[in-house]
Amino acid sequence: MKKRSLNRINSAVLTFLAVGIAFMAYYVAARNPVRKDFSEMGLNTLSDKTTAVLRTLESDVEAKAFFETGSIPASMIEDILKEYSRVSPKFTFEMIDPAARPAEARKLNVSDYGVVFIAGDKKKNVGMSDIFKFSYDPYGGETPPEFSGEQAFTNAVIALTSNEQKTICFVEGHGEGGIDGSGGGDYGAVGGMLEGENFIVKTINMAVDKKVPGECAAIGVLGPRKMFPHLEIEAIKEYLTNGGRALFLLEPAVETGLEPLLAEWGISVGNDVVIDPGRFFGEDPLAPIPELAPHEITSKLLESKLTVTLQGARSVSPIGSTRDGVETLSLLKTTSKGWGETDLKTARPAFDAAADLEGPVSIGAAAEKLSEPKPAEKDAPEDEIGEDGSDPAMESSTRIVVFGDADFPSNSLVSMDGIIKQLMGGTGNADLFMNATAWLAGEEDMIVIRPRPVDFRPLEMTAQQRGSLFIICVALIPLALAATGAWIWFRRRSK
Amino acid sequence: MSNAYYIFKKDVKSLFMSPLAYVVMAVFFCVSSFLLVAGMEEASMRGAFGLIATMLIFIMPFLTMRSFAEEFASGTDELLMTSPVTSGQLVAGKFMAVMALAGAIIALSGQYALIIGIYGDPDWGPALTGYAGLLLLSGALASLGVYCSSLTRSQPAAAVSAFGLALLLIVIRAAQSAVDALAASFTGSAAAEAVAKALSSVLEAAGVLDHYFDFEKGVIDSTHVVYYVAFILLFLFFTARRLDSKRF
Repeated sequence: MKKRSLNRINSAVLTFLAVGIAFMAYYVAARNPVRKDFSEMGLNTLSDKTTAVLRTLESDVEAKAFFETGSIPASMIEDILKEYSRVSPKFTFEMIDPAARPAEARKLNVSDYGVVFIAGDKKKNVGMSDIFKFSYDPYGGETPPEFSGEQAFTNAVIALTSNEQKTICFVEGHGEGGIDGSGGGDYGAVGGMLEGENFIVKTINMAVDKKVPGECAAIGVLGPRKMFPHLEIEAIKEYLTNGGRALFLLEPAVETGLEPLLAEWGISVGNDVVIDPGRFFGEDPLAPIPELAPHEITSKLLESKLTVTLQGARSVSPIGSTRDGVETLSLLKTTSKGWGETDLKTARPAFDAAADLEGPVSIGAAAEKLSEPKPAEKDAPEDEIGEDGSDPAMESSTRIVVFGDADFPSNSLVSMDGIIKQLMGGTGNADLFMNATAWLAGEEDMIVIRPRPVDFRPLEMTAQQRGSLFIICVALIPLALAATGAWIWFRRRSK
Repeated sequence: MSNAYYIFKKDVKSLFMSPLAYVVMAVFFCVSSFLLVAGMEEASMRGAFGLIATMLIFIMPFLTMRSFAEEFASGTDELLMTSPVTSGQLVAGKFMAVMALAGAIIALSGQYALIIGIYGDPDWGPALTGYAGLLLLSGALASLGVYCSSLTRSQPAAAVSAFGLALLLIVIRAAQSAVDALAASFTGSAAAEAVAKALSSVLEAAGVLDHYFDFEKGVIDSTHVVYYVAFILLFLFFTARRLDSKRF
């Protein structure tokens, strides 16, 4: 009896010890994990930059990924977000199939596949075009798809966790489209996108304010229909001189009074309408599909092969600025067959070498004033400098973007369903507007991570081969196994 | 060690000479091939690994249920208990025998690797780590099954309890969100919040399948390897203790 009790105690102690050792071993291993990624392209390894950002996270960040369950993008996004959550306990994520849980999508105002990053009451959307660079090529040819999700996600995390939330101010009072309006000529769709990108969007009336409010990281003038009063032009001039940032969307045949101010900054706005028989949408040469020039604003569109369609545009050309240190660049151009028609009343437009602007005609331009940085800012870390080819030793102050069309980011062209948008040709219109605004506000990608190819390796087999394999694997191999079992059974019975 | 080898040899022979093992394998490959081969589009083993791992949870209890329950039911356990074979050797031999059969099933799944190798250009790194993960997962399920088999003389009871425990160790992760919500509600009590958080961490670590997914992606993480090795040794130890308690 005594021996049995001792054995029980001994057994209990040993069991307790074994469980303790197992838990301790796991605890130590979990605290000091050693991971090795054996995939050929290192698909499961986050860059050092991302790891550093995640390890210094101070507030909680949640990602809600809206993708079709079981799809290849869903699997890739889930894998990478899992890595993010593994590095930082403050990062959590949830995969949501918008078809299965439409209420979740509606709650976050999500209408397309993508990831919404949320930190407190701030949120930032990362869309499919930021995550994948598709092989679809409207110019013909094929390019392998690339996955640039890590860069997009890490920059979203940085934007959300930085204390600064920038305000974009849209000028009203001159017949501009409303940034929160839902009419076809309004800009509510891109306004909502800006809020989704963690911007504060507000409207300003300079007749009331007399100057551009200090909180504005950039101002937007979206298709004014009337002349700006002298005092307002002076206020914008002062704002730009002091390092302000501004976006102007100007319709043809509308004189706004802003033209001399823009010329001062090296951008000439022509009193014409652009016609491009070389590249246009549908059957309307007045709806040019311009070629994009390389710039931070256009780089993502060029990578994704997205096109922009304008609807009735005027020329906007870079010219020499009268101010020191200002660099100007054309962003959109027609083909060499295009021209700027100065006779706005003609029913039969034709190129007139004496009066018209010869192609290729610039329809959008950017101006940037570069200056020597203040001494304290010279030692900025390299990671925070975009790979745009700009001189990192110079600091950017004033930035201006002008497009000779105000319709391209309007609700009528941006709020269309995907397939209609593709048919209409304006797949990159919203992106152009968003990228221009982000560049003006200084919200370019803070971290650049090289995109990697999407590692999809197709099986190349004919239907006949697939059929044969199906028969072998589903019928022959299992039958052989079952026959072996039956043979053993018969042998055992016969013994 | 030779004793353990003797037990292993005897059990392997018994397992491979059992019609049940072949029926289980035939059903296994018929179902998995039906689900995999027709829809195979990518030269990747990931889909196959996911399916095989799920199916192992269902079939491992059938492979392990005989280990000790049959000995107890037929009375041969008394011979074993009075023989010079230690409980550890006995458990090791039976576990290795089950693993030999599980290994044969996993090896036969090489037919899918052969297909993607012939008709595509797969990334072999994740394929190899996936197989390592499958072996570790089947080891964990085998040790659990062998332990359950040592608790009863009824083979169906051993299989059902092994399956139930494995299922519990899979769905346990789902309880984590409930515990997290509970932890979030304990804003007033630091001690209660700490307990809920600790419980949440335990639940997060306990999921037997959660430690497998990194392997099929091509990642070997020491945390997962230690989890499976500790899991296997712990349940084999429990089984040995169970046999020891029967000896005394």
